[in-house]
Amino acid sequence: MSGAEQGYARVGWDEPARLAPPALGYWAGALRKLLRNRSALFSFAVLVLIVLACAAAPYYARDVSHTDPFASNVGGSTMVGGKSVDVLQQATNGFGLGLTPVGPLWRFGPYALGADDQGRDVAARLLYGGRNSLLIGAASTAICLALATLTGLVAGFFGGLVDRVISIFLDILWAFPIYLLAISLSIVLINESLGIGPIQLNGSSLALPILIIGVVYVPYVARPIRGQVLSLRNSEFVLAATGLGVPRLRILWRDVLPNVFSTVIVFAPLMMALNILTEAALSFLSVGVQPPAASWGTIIRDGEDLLYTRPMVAIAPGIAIVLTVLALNILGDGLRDALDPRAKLRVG
Amino acid sequence: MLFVLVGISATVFLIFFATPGADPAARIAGRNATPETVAAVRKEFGLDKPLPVQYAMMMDHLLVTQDLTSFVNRGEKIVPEIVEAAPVTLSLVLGAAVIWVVFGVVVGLVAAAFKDTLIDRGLMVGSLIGVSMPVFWLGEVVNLLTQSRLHGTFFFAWVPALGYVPLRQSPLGWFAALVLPWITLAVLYIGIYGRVLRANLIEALNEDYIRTARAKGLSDWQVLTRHALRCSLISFVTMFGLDFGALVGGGALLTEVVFGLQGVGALTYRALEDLDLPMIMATVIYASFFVVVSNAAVDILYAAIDPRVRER
Repeated sequence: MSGAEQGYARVGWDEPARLAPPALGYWAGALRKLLRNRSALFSFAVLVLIVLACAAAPYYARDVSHTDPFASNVGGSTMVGGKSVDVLQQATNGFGLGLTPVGPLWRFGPYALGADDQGRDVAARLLYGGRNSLLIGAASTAICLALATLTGLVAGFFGGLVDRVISIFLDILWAFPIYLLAISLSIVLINESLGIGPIQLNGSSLALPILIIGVVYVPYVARPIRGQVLSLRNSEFVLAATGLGVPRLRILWRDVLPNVFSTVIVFAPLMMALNILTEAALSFLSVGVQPPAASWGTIIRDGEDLLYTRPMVAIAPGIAIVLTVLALNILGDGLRDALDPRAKLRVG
Repeated sequence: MLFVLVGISATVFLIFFATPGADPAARIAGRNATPETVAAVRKEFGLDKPLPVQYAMMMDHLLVTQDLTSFVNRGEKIVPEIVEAAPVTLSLVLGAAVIWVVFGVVVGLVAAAFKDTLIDRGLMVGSLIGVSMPVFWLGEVVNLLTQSRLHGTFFFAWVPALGYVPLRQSPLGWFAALVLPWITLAVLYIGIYGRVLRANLIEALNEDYIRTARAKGLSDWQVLTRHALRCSLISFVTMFGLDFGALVGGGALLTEVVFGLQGVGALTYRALEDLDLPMIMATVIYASFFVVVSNAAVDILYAAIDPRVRER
């Protein structure tokens, strides 16, 4: 990985050629390339907007929708065009049995996207759910990348028995169909709570989905990192350092790690996209975020029964997920183009 | 390979039987069971025996005598259930696989052939959107449109109610009930495979042998399909093997649940929800078996397709 791009300076026809001072280094060059990528920048802006909107959830709930997104509001009513309308009304389709929540009112006020079957404001829940979805996505990505980098580095760099043990362990972990493993762990841990020594994690703690999703994807990232470390081990500068007698840990820290770092950065938004989708799937199957907490997946599940009468309850969180994951994917593509243009390590 | 299978089944067994704080007998006995009930349940299901013995017993019932019964639905035999559910999953996955392979190749080829034009951009954005949609949400939206909102129109009046129609009962019904699940499941994979194929093709097109082919006078299309495609299909094929194996083993559970198809995936999910331990063990082993087999098959296939690997 050479840093400088060397160009030739313009000279007169009778002067000898000179080398121009080196252009930007690797990181600066990558940054410039990224900033020139309009779709990546746009995606980043969209992500920032989404994060800000979700962070503002309490303000939305208090000032705009004037409802408590977590309290049942079955008997409530709201003003529509000057008239008071019940939040849950008598059903007019099918047999006319049961109650239908009010539909989207399309205003910057209460029940902008309608109510769910408990009379709660969908838009406010969407923002609150976004907080959990984004938090779980980001935290599990951090855990996944940290663990994968550690295992990939250790396995690739130290080789031998350590490598074999780690690789077998990763193979077994990866042989599990991902959703099965995640669902199994979630079901057991949610029902029983996790008690390891002094750490007691309650069944409805958010740390459970974070840990589970983070751990389940470790082999996916660890394998490419291990491959890269293996090839780096045979590169000239590592061999030179070894020949000079530099201690192994120092080579790891100062030569191998910075190279691996760019791979990890490329993986970050892509893994976050994957983790958000996985969390949504787990919550949809009721083994992710537990009520009363909400996430985009749980709201989709809430909307499943209302799908034919009040589809917006199920559609809105899905659109939120698509936008977020799409933005993350585009940003990830942009990062990969900037940092690894020959795409030596392609992620699906 | 066997080692991995044993490892997986042992790990699942441990997850459900031995997590710190977990007690399978209490789970089976129910929430408000008295200590006597729990103790009786424990004795009856053999849960008081040491863990390795329990594991061996369960494996024996599952694989050897094949008379493993469910913990939750008393008297229900597990192996016939799985045998019944397998064709449903197979129908779903095979149909979706045909669709996604054909369209994935087309998307990848066209995008690489028209690189950097509007067609390429459009296809790639479409693929990205396909990859970004949660498959269960897409299924719900499809259901909304075809079962409810647009059901009356000419386009979707033929859509039957959610569920599986056995092939023997009515081939046309089987097809009609599966078309939409096929498309829904395929969308995600078309996105992934289209992008991967396009990237591989573009990389291959920079190679020297392509320059030779062009110099020989072959047309762009011939170069693409007869030379570049063969190299690029390698990773396509290996990915396909792994994905297909995972799906057949029950990885399509979200699609099955959303469309009401009682396949292996739905069975797995039901077992997990009910905490029906024997069923869980059986379905997980079934799924892992296919994953391991497909991994091995892909390794062999890779060596068969790419002679360079054999030299190693």
